[in-house]
Amino acid sequence: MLFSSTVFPYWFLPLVLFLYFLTPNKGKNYLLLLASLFFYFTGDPKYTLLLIASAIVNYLLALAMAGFPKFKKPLLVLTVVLNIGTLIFFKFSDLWIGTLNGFLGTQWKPFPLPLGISFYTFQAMSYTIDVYRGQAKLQKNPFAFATYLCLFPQLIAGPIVRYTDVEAELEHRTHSLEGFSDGVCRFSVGLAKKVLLANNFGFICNLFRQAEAPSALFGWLYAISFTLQIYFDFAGYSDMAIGLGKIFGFRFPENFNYPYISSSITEFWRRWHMTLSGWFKDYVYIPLGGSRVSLPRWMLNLLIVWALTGLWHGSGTGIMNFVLWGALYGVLLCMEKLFLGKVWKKHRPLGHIFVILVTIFGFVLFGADGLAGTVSDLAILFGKGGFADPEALYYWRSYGLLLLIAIVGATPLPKLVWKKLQDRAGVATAILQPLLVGAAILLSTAYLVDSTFNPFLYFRF
Amino acid sequence: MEKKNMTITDKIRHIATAVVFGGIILLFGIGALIAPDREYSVFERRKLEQMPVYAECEDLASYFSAWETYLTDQFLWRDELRFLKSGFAHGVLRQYDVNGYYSEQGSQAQLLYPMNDENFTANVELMEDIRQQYFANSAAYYGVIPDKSYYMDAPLGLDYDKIHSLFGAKLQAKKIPLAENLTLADYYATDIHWKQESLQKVYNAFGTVMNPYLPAWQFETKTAGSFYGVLYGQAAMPAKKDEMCYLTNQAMEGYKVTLLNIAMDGSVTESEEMLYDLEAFAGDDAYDLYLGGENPMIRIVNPNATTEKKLVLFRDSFGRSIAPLLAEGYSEIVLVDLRWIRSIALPLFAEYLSGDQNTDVLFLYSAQVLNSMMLG
Repeated sequence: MLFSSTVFPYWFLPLVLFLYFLTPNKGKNYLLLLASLFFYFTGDPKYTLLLIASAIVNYLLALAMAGFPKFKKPLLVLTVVLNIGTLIFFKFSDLWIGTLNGFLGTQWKPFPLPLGISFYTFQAMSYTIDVYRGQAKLQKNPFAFATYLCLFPQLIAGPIVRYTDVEAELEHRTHSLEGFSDGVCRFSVGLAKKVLLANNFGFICNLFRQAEAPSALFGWLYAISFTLQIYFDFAGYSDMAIGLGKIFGFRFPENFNYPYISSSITEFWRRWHMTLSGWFKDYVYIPLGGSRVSLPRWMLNLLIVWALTGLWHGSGTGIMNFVLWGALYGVLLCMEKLFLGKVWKKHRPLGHIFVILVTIFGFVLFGADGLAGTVSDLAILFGKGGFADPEALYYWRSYGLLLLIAIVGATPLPKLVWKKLQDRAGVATAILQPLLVGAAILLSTAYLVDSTFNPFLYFRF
Repeated sequence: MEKKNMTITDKIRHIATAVVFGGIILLFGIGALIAPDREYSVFERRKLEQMPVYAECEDLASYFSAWETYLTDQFLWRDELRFLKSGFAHGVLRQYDVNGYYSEQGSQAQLLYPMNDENFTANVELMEDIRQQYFANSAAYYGVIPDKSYYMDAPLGLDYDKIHSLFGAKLQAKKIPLAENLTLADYYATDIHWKQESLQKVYNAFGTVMNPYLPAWQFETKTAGSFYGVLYGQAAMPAKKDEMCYLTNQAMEGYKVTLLNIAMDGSVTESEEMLYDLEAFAGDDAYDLYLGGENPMIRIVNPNATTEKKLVLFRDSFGRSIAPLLAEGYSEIVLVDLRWIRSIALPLFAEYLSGDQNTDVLFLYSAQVLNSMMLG
């Protein structure tokens, strides 16, 4: 089940909300756990047991760390090995099963990637590592821990909520009309981002893939559309998750902060998928020594972290593209730390153009079919198929306004305008807000009803 | 005081937001459960997903997926929501087409792009095979009916020069010039088809190129009623209803129309059909008025013909509306629809297809059909 399906907002969510607010406070976590498991079960029935197993194993290992302090370190190693091992097992199953098939002459099929495994594995590890470090209290109630890990709003595509983010709210959270209304607004905005923007850009990307000999103009339309699709897809999902969290009394961390307005790569990664970069920073980069080491070691630390970031995004045979994508950012970040950062500080517009170009080319690498596909896509961008073709001109014209809306929507401008309006004409926003929420829901529903199944991109990871 | 006012405003904002959201969710959620399921969507021209049965699904995942499709297909006011989407995309986002459909000069059309060279080539080669096999001694003709976008300044469309070059190179047949004898007004606004009553120039072109026995255009126009064509529901754009007319004259009253069917023993049987079926007009597809709708083999016999000439017309649905007009210049017309009959089955109808010098063979197809499928 996807948030951006008709089933989720029209049947699943109202039913869960009805039961949730009917249930006494003590039982709310249990209800959320059951609802979350059902939510996951409808999306990936085969791997629901794996999710439950992850919750049980991580809960028990944290319990063991607290119970046997002498064995804390080996238990932590065991936790990391089990979690990362499972992730690697599934993410690269087509690689190692392919190798085995080659050796043994067998025809084994690779395992499909369990839904959201990259997200919930990192969440589980944040708990066990924080318990090891003494930064999180041990959760003695297994159901409360399972509720945290399986919580449906953020279960399958983030944000990566750390246990400490919701530790207090798991025990006691307040529900208010304001929280409900803000949550509903955030959810509606996220749904509109996903359905009205990301899906339309996805459609353009498909057109590009179907074109026989696309021109450079088509190539650039694709590259820009894909860059916008990824952002609105993922940021839209994060908005929906954060909004749902608010409705149920949780405060999830922000995941995006207008990354495309950044004027350096360092700033970009402070604004893009913030919960993932934060995770890598706290659990990999700092333990490696961070920046408080020799210059070569610092650069190596950065490269390790960004290669791992690339790996986290990838799976299967196209893994090299993701590793290169991560490494590209690693190298650029190193360059910014060494000298480029100073240039961008003096010439911010130049830095901004650089970020946008790197992002676009980065996502071409990200979205291409293997390395050969990357070369082919890049060749198209540089005119392999000619400069322009009627199809490209047509789609530029037809989707021009949508592109413009999306580009403006990727900046803080709409939020600033809304805030100004709230400050100067609060009464108007009291009328406008429900109207906009209604319009967003109705239009998104209209698009959903008209479309076929449309999965989120980030489920691959 | 000001703070208190703000709080009240905020409260109103929050309550109104919650009520609007809850209202929409409950209206559609409960409404869809109460409303009876529909089996077929006339607008979309397709069967709608029915409640899934677990035993018929491959596994649990496909069962849940089938539920999603079912609930989306049966969503309350599905058609109206599709119109909302289309209106927003065209009107607000200024998209030229939505799902490949667009509206221009008051007429709706489908974007036919890219051109499917493979389909075109295969179809023309099939026509030439049939001509050589059955009509080597007959006069052969072809006509390509342009899709509406040809007259609508559509930014993307089929390459008609390329299409005619292909026909010229691969099919030994004379071209009937159609494109220059039609205008956008000769097509229905909400349907892909041409209007029978607007075919005078086309009729004359057939007379000039193909059959000198074709009498002058003398028909009485009758109205069947108003209708929404296939494009209306698929484009989901507001439009006025079209009016469908049909042409008659005294000669037509004597025509005998039969459907040719294959019996169990392999013999061909004939069953009566109407030249204009007003009951079929009231069905899902108004164009079924002409010769009762889609049938693979139809025969029109003109007992009062002044010539022995016979016409074998390989055609799509457009052919059903022109055939009654052409019949006056022939003793018999056999209509073959290669979308519904495989060419390997044609020998079963050998007695109807036998071509001699007194037989004309005409391949009359719309570019839309030639582009979208491989015939027979």
